[in-house]
Amino acid sequence: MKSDSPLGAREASDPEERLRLLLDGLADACLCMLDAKGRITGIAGTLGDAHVPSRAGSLLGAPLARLYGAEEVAAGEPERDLAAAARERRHESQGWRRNLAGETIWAHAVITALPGGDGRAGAYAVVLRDLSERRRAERALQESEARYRAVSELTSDYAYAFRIDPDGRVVVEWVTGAFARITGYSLDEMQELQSVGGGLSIIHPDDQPIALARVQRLVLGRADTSEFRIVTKGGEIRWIRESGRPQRDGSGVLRIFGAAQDITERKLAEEEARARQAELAHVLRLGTMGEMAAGLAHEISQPLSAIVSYARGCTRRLRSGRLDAADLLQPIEEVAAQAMRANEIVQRLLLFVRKQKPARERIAANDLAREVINLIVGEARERGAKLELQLASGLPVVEVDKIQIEQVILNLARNGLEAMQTVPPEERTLVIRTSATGDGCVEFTVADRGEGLAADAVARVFEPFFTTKRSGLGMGLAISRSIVRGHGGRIAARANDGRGATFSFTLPGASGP
Amino acid sequence: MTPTRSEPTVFVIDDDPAMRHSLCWLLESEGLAVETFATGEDFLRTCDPDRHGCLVLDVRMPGLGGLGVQRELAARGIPWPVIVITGYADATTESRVRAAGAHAFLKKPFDDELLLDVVARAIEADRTRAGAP
Repeated sequence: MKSDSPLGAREASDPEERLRLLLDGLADACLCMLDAKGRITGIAGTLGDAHVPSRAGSLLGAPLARLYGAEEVAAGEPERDLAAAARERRHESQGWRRNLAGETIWAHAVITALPGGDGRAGAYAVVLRDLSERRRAERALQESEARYRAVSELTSDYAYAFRIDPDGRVVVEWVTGAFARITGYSLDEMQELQSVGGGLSIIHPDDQPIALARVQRLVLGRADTSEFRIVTKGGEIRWIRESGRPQRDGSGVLRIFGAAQDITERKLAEEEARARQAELAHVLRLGTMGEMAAGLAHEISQPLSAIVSYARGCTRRLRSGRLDAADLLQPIEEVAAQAMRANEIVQRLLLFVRKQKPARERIAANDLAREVINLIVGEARERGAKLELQLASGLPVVEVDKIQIEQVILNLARNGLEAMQTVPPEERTLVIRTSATGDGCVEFTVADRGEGLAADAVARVFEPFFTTKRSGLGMGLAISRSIVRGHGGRIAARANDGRGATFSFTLPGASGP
Repeated sequence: MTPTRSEPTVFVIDDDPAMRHSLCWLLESEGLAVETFATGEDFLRTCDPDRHGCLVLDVRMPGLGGLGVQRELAARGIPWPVIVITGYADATTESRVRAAGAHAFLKKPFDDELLLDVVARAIEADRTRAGAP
């Protein structure tokens, strides 16, 4: 070892010099030679500092402590490490060190004692590796995770992380918060379920498809938020809203962070609200039917009268003997056809009045309008009004509670008919129109040519118990608005430029095929 | 006067095709001449005051309606008896129809005997009126 000029001479032929040049090339490491007293006698390697070759000379003769951080020096670590190396020949440590420029770095150090002539340490070799970058990355990950946990704990009832190893093994890494209180399962029991591949077994059977689709999305690296029911260990059903974020690391391990909220209370409240609305709508339908009785009686008396006339026309001809049997064919066919017509009217009413659980189905918007026309044709005739149906083509399908939406259209149509009672019969025209809006919705419009709406009525017409009619509760439009909103749509009223008022509401087009 | 003009005719006015056809079928079983119209306006457009007969008229129809037809006949001075039929007979409608001079007021579905009897008497009344000086 040329302790007097460690970096000065550059003779590539010298094997020691060649080793040193090689070490100089290491960007994140350096090798220091120390004498028996722990003073620096030579340095090779830059430890990330390009100026080392010119600076190294100034370090010669400095104690090992020069390579340690201030606190470590104060704690006596350099001496302790050196003593340990002397005792055990080799000592490893990790902590705050200083590089050749004096900057603090996080480093891994190995001190190896080189035996001297008397069997004691004659010199030491110190290899320092700068781990600052790796430490920063690890810290960033830990901090990010800690942040996630902290935020999760604040915003959710419980949070968790589990990992899926490349071999498909699922390991629950941590769970915080009220997981056990909500699900009834401890972390160990959950791990047990996971390891036998039954991680989804706590999901309610009806919601298994939701949970499976969710897992598929997460495994594909997509974030997901889903709502589903679980069955707790005690057999109770709870609603959970879970947000998951997948993160795949370099080794192929997929880690999924999740935050869950117990939304049981909210769901139950929603269900109750829906049930209430359905009940209210049912009561309103019964009321509507009562009010429509006149129109319905007229509607059904038509086919019944026709049947009587056809049948009696036949019996009279039979009795009088003035008869060609073939002449009876058509009237008798008509009797059957009119009986079917009467039956259809009855069935339609039954369907409308029947109490139903709220259920959404996909249906063409125009079919809804047509059904309502069928229900109201009798009343329109009775009131001497003309019905005009203007249906747009190519409308999106809607996913709605059919009975409820028909009721909304029916309410609007009946209001329109009533509003036209005071205008001359030839002007009584009610238009029911469907159209597409720019944003993928369907718009239903009911326009009358009646008395119209005063400006203050336009603003208040959807309020409960607001009515401009002599009879009526003033609940029809309020319930209509609540039904439309429940379907994600909007309802509006305006006075026409000429005569009458126009009511319209939108329904979002159903997503998917 | 041509024979067709002097022959009494039952004018059936109803917007429901089944009602028109079935009434026609029933009235013709008694050998009556029948003409049908889908609207009051159609009937008034072609109605010839020199003819004889009676009307079977639905109250509730789009447009003019039964009451409107009655008023228009009165305005034109056409005295044909009017038999009004309706599916839903509330007191107000009946009193209005009668006030407008209806010969009879029948509720659907009506008995065939009743209708034919009323029609026969209406035609008789019209004949008496026409034959009177």
